[in-house]
Amino acid sequence: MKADSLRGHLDALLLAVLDGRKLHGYAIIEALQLRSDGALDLPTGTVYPALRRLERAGYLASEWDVVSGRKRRTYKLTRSGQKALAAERTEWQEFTAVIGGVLGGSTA
Amino acid sequence: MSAIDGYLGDLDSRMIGPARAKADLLAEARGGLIDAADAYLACGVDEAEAERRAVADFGPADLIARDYQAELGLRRDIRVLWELIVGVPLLLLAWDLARGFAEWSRLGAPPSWYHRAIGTADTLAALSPAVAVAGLLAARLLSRRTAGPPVARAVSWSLAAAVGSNLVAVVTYGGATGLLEPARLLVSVPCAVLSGVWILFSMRLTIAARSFGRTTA
Repeated sequence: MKADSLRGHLDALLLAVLDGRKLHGYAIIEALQLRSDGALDLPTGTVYPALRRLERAGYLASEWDVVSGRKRRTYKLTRSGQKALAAERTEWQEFTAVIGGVLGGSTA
Repeated sequence: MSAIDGYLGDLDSRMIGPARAKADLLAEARGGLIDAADAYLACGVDEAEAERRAVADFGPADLIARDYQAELGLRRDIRVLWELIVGVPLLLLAWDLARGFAEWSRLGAPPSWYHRAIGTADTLAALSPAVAVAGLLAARLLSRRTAGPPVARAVSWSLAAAVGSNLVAVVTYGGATGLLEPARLLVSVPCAVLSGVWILFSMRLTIAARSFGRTTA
């Protein structure tokens, strides 16, 4: 999948990956690739500034932790982030229902 | 030099901003690159090739540095806004406290224009941290909707307005008092010291806010 088409959804994808867990940057990238079966192809370096922006927005909280023997910055969802994720999910379901209804192949 | 070190050196040279924030961003990038290289190593690739692939996955340095620089510039501006939010009210408070110990009674009553000038300066000084708070709120809310220029513009504009408001207040305090009677500037040692501190603080804020125009262009 092209990076340009992902950029608009990157925030929601990052929030979804962090739902209910605390992860460091590379683990977030791995989780994105795993959940998409490797279809999400974007420069991994763009993820880190996006995480910082989501933190500034109040959706994520971060801290330096020692994970697997190395110091890593880990991120988790805040309460605002959980609300934003729920709103993104509802919006996405409505969007796919509408578009799916039209593109879904019915000729009625 | 390893591929990761070379790449990080390239990123570093393309970024300008507060040293600590820059080191923090680069440390996280290094961690991510090492993790990626480790993952390739675990697949049986040799170390040099693992690092080369990790760097390639991270993205072209010029493209990535643009995102990092935007983040760094915002952090710098937000830090200056916080300095202003804390510093100006503290100086106002300290000035009010210090004024109580001065022997103002031996000076004549100032004319009405002087009261008006000081009243205007008081309003501007109080407005300055309020504008800075509005800038921080705008940064938070805009960061939820968009990335890049709109957030940087909002922060830069509020920074310029807040720093400008404080600067005009300081110039008005000093200018009006100097015009009325220069000796008043030195009638109280604590007040004179605080005035000096405020002038230096304002100069520091003005220099720190010099990025205005670059980020709004």
